[in-house]
Amino acid sequence: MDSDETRKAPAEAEGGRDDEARWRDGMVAGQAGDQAVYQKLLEGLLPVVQRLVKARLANATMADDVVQNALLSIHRARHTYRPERPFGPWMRTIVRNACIDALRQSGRRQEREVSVDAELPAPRDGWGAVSAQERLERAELSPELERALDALPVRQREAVEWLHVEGLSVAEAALRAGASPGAIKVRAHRGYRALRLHLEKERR
Amino acid sequence: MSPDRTQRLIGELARDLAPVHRVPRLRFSVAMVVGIVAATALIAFWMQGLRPNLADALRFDPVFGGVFVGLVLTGVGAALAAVAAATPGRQRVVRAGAATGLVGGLGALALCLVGVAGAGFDAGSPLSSDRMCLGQVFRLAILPSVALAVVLARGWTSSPLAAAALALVAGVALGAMVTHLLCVFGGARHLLLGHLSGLLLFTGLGVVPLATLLRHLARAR
Repeated sequence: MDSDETRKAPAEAEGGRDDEARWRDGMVAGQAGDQAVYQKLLEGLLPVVQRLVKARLANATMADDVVQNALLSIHRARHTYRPERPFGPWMRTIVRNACIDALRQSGRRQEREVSVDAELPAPRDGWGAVSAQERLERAELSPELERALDALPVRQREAVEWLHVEGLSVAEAALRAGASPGAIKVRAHRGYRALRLHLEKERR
Repeated sequence: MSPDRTQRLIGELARDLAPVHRVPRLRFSVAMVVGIVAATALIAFWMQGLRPNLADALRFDPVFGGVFVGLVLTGVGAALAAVAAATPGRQRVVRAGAATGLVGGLGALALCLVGVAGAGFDAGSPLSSDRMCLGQVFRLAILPSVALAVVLARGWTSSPLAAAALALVAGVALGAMVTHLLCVFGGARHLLLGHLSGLLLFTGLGVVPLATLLRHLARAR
């Protein structure tokens, strides 16, 4: 099980009584479905989460994704918060686990993605108005890569397209798919592997 | 950081918001598991009857009494740790419960090994009795293990493998504890193979499938 590292990082010492009370009330309202209060809570938590992540991760690019994953995890685990318990340790545990997961997966992911990344267009910002198909067309993918993408199972293709064509973060893709960030990463990894095999076969 | 993307995600999360039911309090979940074990034990006692001279065995047979105490500590400690593992921010409870369970399990194991070394491997009940009790441990472990798995599936655990191991150790230890009170056989070897070995055997067999199930449920959530 996790070790309690909450006292190790100086940035984690924050979260006074006022913050605790505000966070607790915000989460209780969020559990009841109050969207406006919940949005304020997440916006208030954002700088805290960013500091906690920065204290643990040196890689700024990775930190951005981890902050989003941590917010998504807080959202998905909100039913496990009980108002009689302090909010800070609950949140810090989730953020810490998001950091640990990211560190664990980063090495493996880089190895798997590197050969396919060269084939895919650079990730972009923005989502919603333009469909994935349109973005694929605009991205002017090579015909062989388009064929390889078409051959992927739907979930894997979606994951690859969202992350690499639409430029969504893992957390955004997870929210869109209604799955966890881990599931999105697994689908994308499987997609990358299948793409690589497909491309290698075509080039032989 | 890219503030726009993160702000957009926060907006999406707020729009995605639906009311949720909170997980029950820790003490309620533990009480539920203990209640299930108590109900199972009462039915088993009613059907099979308690071990003859149970009070004397607990008081005057140090191996029998020590293994019982060890199983209680292991079952309750691991159950507490498993339930706490389903809630973020309860690492102290997880550690305390796991440590209690470990002390109980290792203590019981040490007593059995000392008993076997003193009396010999063949002393006491026939080997077939070990299989009988092991089967009973398995049957009695099912309900508490399932109850703990439900608590874990409903919660949020950072380490499904560790949480699954704790749940299974707790379920098997509680099943072994009830078996201990029903068992008519004796001898340190029988306690080791018939009552304690299930902790390793059933946990080893079940931990990966249960962890996989928990991961799958977490991803699907």
